[in-house]
Formats: sequence, structure tokens, C-alpha cells
Amino acid sequence: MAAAAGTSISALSGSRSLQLNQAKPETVNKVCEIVKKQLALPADSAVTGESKFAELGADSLDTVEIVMGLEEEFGISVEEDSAQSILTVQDAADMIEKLAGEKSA
Amino acid sequence: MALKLTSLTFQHQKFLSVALPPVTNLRAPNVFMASTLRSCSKEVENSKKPFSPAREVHVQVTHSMPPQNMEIFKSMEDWAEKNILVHLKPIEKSWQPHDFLPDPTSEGFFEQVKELRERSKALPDDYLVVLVGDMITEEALPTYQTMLNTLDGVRDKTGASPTPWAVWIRAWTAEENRHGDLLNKYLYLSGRVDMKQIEKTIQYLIGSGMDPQMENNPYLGFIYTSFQERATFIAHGNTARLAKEHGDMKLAQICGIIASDEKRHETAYSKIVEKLFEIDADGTVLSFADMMRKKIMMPAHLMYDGRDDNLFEHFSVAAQRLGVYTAKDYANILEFLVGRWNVEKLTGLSGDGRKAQEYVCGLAPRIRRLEERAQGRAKQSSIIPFSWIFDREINL
Repeated sequence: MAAAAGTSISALSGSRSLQLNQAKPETVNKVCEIVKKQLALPADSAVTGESKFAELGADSLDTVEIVMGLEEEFGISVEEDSAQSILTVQDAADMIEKLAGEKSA
Repeated sequence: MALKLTSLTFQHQKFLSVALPPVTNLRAPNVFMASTLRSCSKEVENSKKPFSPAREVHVQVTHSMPPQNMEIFKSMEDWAEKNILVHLKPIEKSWQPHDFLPDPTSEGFFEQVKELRERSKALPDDYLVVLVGDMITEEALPTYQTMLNTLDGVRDKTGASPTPWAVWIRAWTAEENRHGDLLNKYLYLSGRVDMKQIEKTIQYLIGSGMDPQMENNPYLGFIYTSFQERATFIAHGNTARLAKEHGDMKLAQICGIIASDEKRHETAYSKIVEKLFEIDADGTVLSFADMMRKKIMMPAHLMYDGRDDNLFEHFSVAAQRLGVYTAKDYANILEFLVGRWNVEKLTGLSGDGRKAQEYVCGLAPRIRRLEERAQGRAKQSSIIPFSWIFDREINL
């Protein structure tokens, strides 16, 4: 039934509504890796797309270095304005794909 | 709450200027909101209170030193008398502004003034802006004496307290007082700057105060002053060098003599912290890390001239571009203090103490790496007018 299907789709995507331009899981995972490395978090610590940098213990210096690490890893250049709006791992991943897409366009 | 990046990668001077920490500091029981006026948030725009800082200040934390630690400073009084007060210069042997300015009682006064104005014609506008910013910083001395008197265990309780700490605070203030006087008179006579705008900026700045987050805690306070005195020593040393390059030897002498005072003060303050590391290594290294995480705020970070909402930022960029005070200097000072206080060799630290030690010892290289990255990027220059020089513009 249509209603049930609708319910299961929204259940799969969690509290977010489906956004067609969300980053690929591989990108999100790569960001998680870089974040864990920067913050010296154990490999099995819970870092996901929803994780907020501030809550993970990143200070402002950590965040700049994380963005730098992302720039190096993905070969992109981040403007300060965009960087300021990155609050979560997902934000970072989405921005990376947007910039990488613009680069190859 | 939005994460404010230090933006060192993008605008290195921002690292030296105001960069608010992203989380509210709830460490101490007595925490209350400071008046935050003229901030970017829309809700505050219409409730401008006069005599408040033009920029946001942090949540004000107070008395973060455990009260029992006040004993430490009491027990240090004899030591301070013998080891710290010796760094004050006897007044009979001290220089005074008179020694470096045209002498109004002399026949040659007008000639001396003429020469001074001739020499300062050669000073470029960007240099003048930085010199003026330094002078304004010096002239906000009431704030700094206040700051020292907020510190538990060492404050001058009466205005004439006989403790060595109080004696130091008053005598230090007295020595510093000559700096602003001298620079003020020199700039006034030069005719190159808008004294009214400068004087206005000073009035705003003293009215705003400063917010280095010392929390009434002398550990934090003396670490801050150690850093800051070295920073001013470096900055005035650079303005002296540049004055010489522009052919103004008298101004070079002036900046140089001020720098030598700052050096003496740096020696005294860093000696105090060295002693604190001996007495309480864990507490002191935690304090060192704390101040570095909060970033060492420049004394004039709340400066405003009635016109430019980003005045301090613009001034900082000018100082960076001219090489008077740069992100590299910041990293160098940090590295120097880590060495001076032998932080790497500390032992017997708690778990938190070790983390603080690691943070502090590893911080200078991180800042340098960021700075290198920032230098490598294409910089857009902008042309900024400064009211201090009649809205003449400089290239930033």
C-alpha cells in the first residue's frame, strides 16, 4: 500500500526528508575517517553524518585543520563563507561533492 | 551554535583577533552573560546601550582559581619582593617622554618641532595606522591596571596596599603610563594623523575594556601577561626597525625604548609563571593550555572609532601585512614560552595535565602549518580607509 511504502521510506532516511543531492556514503565515510584522525578518536567511535564537530570535541583550530584535510583529500578549495556553515559531517560531505562537481563541470 | 572557524587558512590575521569559542563556558558556578551589544544578531540591533563593547564579549566566568590557591600567592610574597620587584627601574634613573620630544623651554623648540614634522612626512600611511593602533593600545592603560587588580591573591586591595604584588602592579602601571604619553605627544606634533578620531577611539576603548578571560585567576593572568609583554616587545621592536628604514631615527629611538621596557616586564612575568610551574606544575600547565585554547586576545580587541565596525580586524591585518605583529610571531612566542618554562620536561602530571602538556607543546607547529597554507593562497587585497588618517586608504 502507498501509505505503508511512504512510511518505510521515511523510516529508512531517519528524521531527514529525502534530499536528492545528499552526498554519497563513501564521501561521508571518508569525512568520518578524517575527523576521527584529527580528533584522535578510536576507530570504533560513533561518528556519523549527523555528528556535529563541536560535540565531537573539535575546537576552532581542529575544524580548520579538518577542512584543510578535506581540501587535500578531495582536491578542492573551500571558501571561508562555505566553511563557516559546516556544522556536521554530513554538511562537510555535501559541500565536498558540490565543490568536486563544480570542479569537473 | 554555529562553529566559528579561526579562519587561519583563509585570513590569517583573524587568528590573532577576536575568535569566539563555540561553546558556552559553564566551568565555574558564577557564570553570567556579559552585555553583548552591537553584535551581528538581529535581535540585539535595536537595543544599543551606550558605553558597551562594540563587539561581543564572551560569557564572563569569574573566580576559577580554587580559593585555597590564594595561599600560594601569599607564601610567594617574600620571593616576589626579592625576585620580581628587582625588574622595576628606579624612577630617578627612568626615561621620561620629555627626553624624546621637542623641549618647549628651549630656544630651538619650534625648529625641533619642524624637524619632527619633516621626518614624519616620510612615514607611509600603512605604517602610521599600525603606530596609531599601538599608541591607542598603550593609552588604554586604565583597563590593564584594572585587569591586574581583578586577579585573586595578588590584587591591590586598597590602592596603596604594601604587598609586593600590589607594589608591582602600581609600579608596572607607572612605567607603562609613559608609553602612551610619549607616543601621543609624538603623533600629535607630527600633524599626520587625526587626533580627534584617535582620541575618540581611545575613549571608546577604555569604555569597552577588554576580555582576555582571566577569570580572576592569577595563573591565567600571569600567563597572559607573559605572552602579551613579549608580543609588545616584538611589535615595538618592529615599529622601531621600520621607523629607521623610513629615516625617522628619533621615532626609532622612541619605539626602541618602549620595547626595552616591555622586555623587562616580560622577564618579570615569565619568572612568576616559572615559579608557579615549580610550585604547582599540574595547575600551571592546565592554565597554559586553557589560555592557548581561548587564544591570547590582543588588549585592544574591542577597539572602535565610531565608524568602522571591523576596526580591530583591519588594524590587525595592517600589522600582519607590515610584519609588525604576525601569526608567525604568535607561534614563535608560544614556542618560546614552552621552552622558557620547560613544559616538555614536566613530570608528575595528572592525566588532564599530560593532555594539556601535549596540546601546548604541539600547538606552535600546527599554527605554523596553517599560516604556511594561508600564505600559499592567493590573497585578495582590499583598500580600507582609516579614520585615524583622515580616511586615507591603505592596501590590505
